[in-house]
Amino acid sequence: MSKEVQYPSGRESIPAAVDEWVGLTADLQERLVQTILRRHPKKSFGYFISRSDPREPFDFVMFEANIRNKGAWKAEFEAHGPYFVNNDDAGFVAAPEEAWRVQKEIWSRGGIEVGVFHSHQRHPANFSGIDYEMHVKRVGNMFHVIVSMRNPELPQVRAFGVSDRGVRELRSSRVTSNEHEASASTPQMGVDAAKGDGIDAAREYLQLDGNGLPRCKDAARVVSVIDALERLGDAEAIQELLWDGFLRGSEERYRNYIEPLMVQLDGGRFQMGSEPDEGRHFCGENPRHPVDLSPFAMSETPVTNALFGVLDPRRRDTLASERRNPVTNVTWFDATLFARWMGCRLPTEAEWEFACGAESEHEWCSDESALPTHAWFSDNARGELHDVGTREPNAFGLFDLHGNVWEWSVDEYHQDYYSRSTTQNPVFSGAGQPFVGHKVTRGGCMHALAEMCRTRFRLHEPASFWAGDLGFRLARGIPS
Amino acid sequence: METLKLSLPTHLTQTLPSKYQGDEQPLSFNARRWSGIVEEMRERYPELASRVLTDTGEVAGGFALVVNDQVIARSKVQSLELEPNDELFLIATIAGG
Repeated sequence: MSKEVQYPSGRESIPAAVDEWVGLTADLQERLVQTILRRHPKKSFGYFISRSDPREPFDFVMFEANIRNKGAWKAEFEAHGPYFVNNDDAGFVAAPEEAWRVQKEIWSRGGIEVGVFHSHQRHPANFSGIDYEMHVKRVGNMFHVIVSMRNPELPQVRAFGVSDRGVRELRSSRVTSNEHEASASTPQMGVDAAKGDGIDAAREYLQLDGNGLPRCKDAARVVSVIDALERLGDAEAIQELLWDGFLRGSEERYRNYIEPLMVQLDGGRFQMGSEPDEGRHFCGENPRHPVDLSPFAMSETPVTNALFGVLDPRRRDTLASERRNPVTNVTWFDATLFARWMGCRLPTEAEWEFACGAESEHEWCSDESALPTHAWFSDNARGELHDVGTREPNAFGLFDLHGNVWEWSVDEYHQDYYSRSTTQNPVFSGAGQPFVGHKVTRGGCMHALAEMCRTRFRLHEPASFWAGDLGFRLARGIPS
Repeated sequence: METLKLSLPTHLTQTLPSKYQGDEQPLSFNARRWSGIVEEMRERYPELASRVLTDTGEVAGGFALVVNDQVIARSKVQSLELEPNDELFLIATIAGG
């Protein structure tokens, strides 16, 4: 039986830059998020204030009025594209009178304005071109925090250092760490492989029910237990508990459900990432570097609701009209488990970028003017998911890599991974303990601006995050 | 020549030449009209001027002039008659996507 799912190793550690931080305490972040939640879906924006240290805010001030739709501002925002035409709640401008009121309040509190924040209703917490343009013009080198409410149950907070030289994502504390904050919902593994608990945990959590489906419905726990078991390296236990146990039938499921959907890709050498002068406000895309990929296969579309229902009976009740939609509201753990269940894996970030670009010289698989023919995104999706495979494929015969849904990849995210990445089949699995970091997502979605759909655009979310615009597709190495 | 005082928020003081960054706020301008402030700002504080002024000396989009606790409409700034003890402030009006 093929022992699929062999990720290249990538557990090297990458030190974080010591000075790339802003002191957003947990309390300050929580107060900000709760305030934004109370106002949601109303746009939130304002200043962080400090007593003196520009990296140590102690509070924030919220604006109430938003004149984005008044006078010339409306036209200025709509000139940025259909997203701002169709969503008049996207964008913010402080009214001069309130800007003065807020300034006086800051001074009266003995504070100085040191950072800006705003909320995104539909977009992730990324710093887009319009954010950059308006920030640099007005407030120069202040840091900027974005709070994404695309899943109001799991608001995401990101901080960015902004200057006329570009944008860097900042850590939210001065603690030097290779790891982003773990989501509160990320379970602790509770498994100490070194003490041999891995096998006992595997026996407990890798049971199947009478229908041959996982008895444990906690995908994070199941994936963690499988990982711990595999790292134990006990071949007999792995054979019994995985290949003859939990994953038995995976090759048959692959042949029946997945193989017809897979596109074989030759791999080879390609240039990954962006040149420095192409970086603009994008994070994590430098340096552009060569990558060599072994041949692999990728599913021609994202996984659909219908297909995901093979593993998750709850998805089998999907409306007929949505069965061909990409499955969404799946965590990285859900995606990883499904992939293993189907004899596959998630694509690595390098594989994803190679497959998406399809050897195009452009920032998408085509030039930007042709993007609507290949992608469901903010220009044409009307804010809705669409059946997979209903736009034109790229030159590799793959659909929906741009737009429709963001897609999980197997990699842990690090802003500076490209400067340390291996050339051959790179994948960053994080340093130290697994499953406490953020995973890479790619591709944009039905709400995304064209820039977010770029082949090289990198985004990240906690592994336990889920949202109505986030799905995944499958990959598999070609057996030699 | 009467002196006008102009105060800036902290992030704009960082645009001042280093020799002025320690200056006590408000900044002093030997001017009676906005045009005089523009001329002097361009000479003494060129980086600040490039950020907050248009080529024609108006307050740039993204900023607002406040005089004696009143926000002045941008269209009225050029014709503003200022008095010696007027308190002027330049502030940013934050915006984004």
